[in-house]
Amino acid sequence: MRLKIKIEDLEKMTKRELYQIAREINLKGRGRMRKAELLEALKRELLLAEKSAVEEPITSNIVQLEPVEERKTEPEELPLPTYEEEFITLIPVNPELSLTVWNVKGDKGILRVYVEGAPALEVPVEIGWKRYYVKIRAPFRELTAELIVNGRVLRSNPVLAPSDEIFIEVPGEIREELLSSVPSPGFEGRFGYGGNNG
Amino acid sequence: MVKGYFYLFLHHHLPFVKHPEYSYFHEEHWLFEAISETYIPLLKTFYSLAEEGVNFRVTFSLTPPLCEMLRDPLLQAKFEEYLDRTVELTEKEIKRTEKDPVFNRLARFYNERFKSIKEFYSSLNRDLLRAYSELESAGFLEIVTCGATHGLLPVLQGVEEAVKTQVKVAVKNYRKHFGKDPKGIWLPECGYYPGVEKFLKEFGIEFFLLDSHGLLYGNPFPKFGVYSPVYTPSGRVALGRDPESSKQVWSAKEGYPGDPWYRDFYRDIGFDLPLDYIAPYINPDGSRTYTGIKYYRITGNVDLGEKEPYVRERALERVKVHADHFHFCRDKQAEYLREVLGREPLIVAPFDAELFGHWWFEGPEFLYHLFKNFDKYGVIRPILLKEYLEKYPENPEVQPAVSSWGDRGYFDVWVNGDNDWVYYHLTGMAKVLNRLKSTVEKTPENTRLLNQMLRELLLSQSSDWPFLITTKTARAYAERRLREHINNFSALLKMVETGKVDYKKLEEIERKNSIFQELNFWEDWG
Repeated sequence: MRLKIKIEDLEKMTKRELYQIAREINLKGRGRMRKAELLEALKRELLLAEKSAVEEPITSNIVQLEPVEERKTEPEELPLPTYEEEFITLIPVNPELSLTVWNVKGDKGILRVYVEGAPALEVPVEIGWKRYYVKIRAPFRELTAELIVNGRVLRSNPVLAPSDEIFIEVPGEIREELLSSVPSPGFEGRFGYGGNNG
Repeated sequence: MVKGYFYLFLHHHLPFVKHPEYSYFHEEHWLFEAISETYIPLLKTFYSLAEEGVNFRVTFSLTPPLCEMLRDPLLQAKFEEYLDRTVELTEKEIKRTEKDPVFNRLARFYNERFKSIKEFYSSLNRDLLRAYSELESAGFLEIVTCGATHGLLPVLQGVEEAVKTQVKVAVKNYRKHFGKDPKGIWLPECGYYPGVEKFLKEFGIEFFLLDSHGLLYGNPFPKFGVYSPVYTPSGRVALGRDPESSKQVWSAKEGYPGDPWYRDFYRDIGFDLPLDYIAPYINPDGSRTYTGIKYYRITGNVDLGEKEPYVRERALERVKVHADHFHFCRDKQAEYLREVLGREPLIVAPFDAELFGHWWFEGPEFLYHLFKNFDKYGVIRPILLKEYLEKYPENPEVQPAVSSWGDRGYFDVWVNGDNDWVYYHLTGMAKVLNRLKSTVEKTPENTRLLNQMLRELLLSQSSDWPFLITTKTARAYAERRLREHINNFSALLKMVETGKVDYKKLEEIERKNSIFQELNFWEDWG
């Protein structure tokens, strides 16, 4: 028996832990699996191990997986370039988080962030970081960033921060009904539907 | 008496995946599975409804990379090979299971199914887009576009030209495939920021969709919530998702697709059968994968080994029950909303198309019965946006909030410690193109190089890659693709700057990343 764990244990594990086990038992295709798939594949392995001593009825088609050769063509890491252009850019993440990304010559600099034009943050940064997460809660307000390096100032694009606040009060029942539908967003786009029948 | 209107939206998208260098490539199967499990079953559903005189309405986004792949001769040929392989497998399965009536019946079911999919595909001369156009001409369907490569626009806004190009190239590609201009757009991942609107306006796009909170956190609070369109400051129309109807269909716990009688997605003979038997139908390196032949039903909260065989007839009965339930809920919902709002609500229900058929095997049949119900009872009317606006041209004016339909509702899925390294490159490459546009001479050689550089940038902007990195599904492939496009871009840049063109490399890149043959850097960038 290759696995010494129980199905209940597997179900509590994080994707990373599942992957570790998959690697230990050399599960094929693990790199491509979603968490749910990984879990199911490991459950299969458990079942195989448990059932290997029992005669299979014709309708249950689970058989021992044969060991196969690992895909040998591990792609070599392609190098990543740098750029001539100097820039600082601001990217919204959520109502309280934004990412600044820059490309500037120099060692150290000062990063300043403004909310609606008013200074909100000043922090020393190392240019080599190339990026910095700015934690400023500013729903529906405009942020800009500046990077000061050797007396030079680079300015970012302005960004309107995402919002999580209702704008105005609306009376009574309508508000209640409409707000009952304020979501806990859970969509994840194309690959996000993990399936519910696993 | 009509109590409300139902706006079904199906987002059809896959990232551009094409590997002429391999005869079998695992990730190309995303497309093959989507065609055989979702796109064709949905088309067949809508054709059946049309033939039966059911007056249905549905809005589709068909993203530019998907359109490009659906019309790519190499991928079309590979898809037919995939179908042939699968039909062959079902034939072997009929033989293998001949002593077992239960499984033999299922094997025959899949055999028939895949043969009919093949027949349908051939009858269209491999051109699914033609079928979509036909349904649109008949008035049942409206097709909208999306970002050129599904780039998440709010995170690209640091270089305006990048956002503009995502919209411009998408519109141009829509024109190429459908011979007219798109009126609507599915903003990739429903990712909205106000700055995008001037580009929508410039390219004649009149409407887009938002997740619920994109409207509900808007300024001011929209009078009808998500139950009417709103006009934005630039005069576009925005629609907000109704969370209630989505949840019933989508939710893993409360949704219909988890019914024990529905077909199980995970239990697939690609994993179950002996390797020497199944080897020709899985990855050539021997790693097991889905074949699409799945014999079991969800059964309940049991382990894969304890699942029971699928009974098609029972599943189809459940579909009817669920379509009735959904219809009943919309009826009650609309009745209540009409009372509260003082006019018939517009219930907006957007989904990833692949929910229907790929994940929820019986999903297309669910839609079939749902539209039959709408038709039969006449209380909820399926509608296109332009039809609703004719009835209710007056709608609240709202500045929507920056938002997406991703997990948590913002951009955390696409911008986090695992994938944020990419934004340095996406910004850097866009800035390079800005410089080259004003400094490089317009020789045929440079044009060819710059066209391909733009393709590489567009392909690296797909929101799919950071998404796949975050969810750790196909993470290695996503990272590889990003590095490949960034690297190609930098190699091509070197050719432009030195004037030394490596034609062999250029041709190889052009053949593989062949999306948007109509591209013209000088017109299309910025």
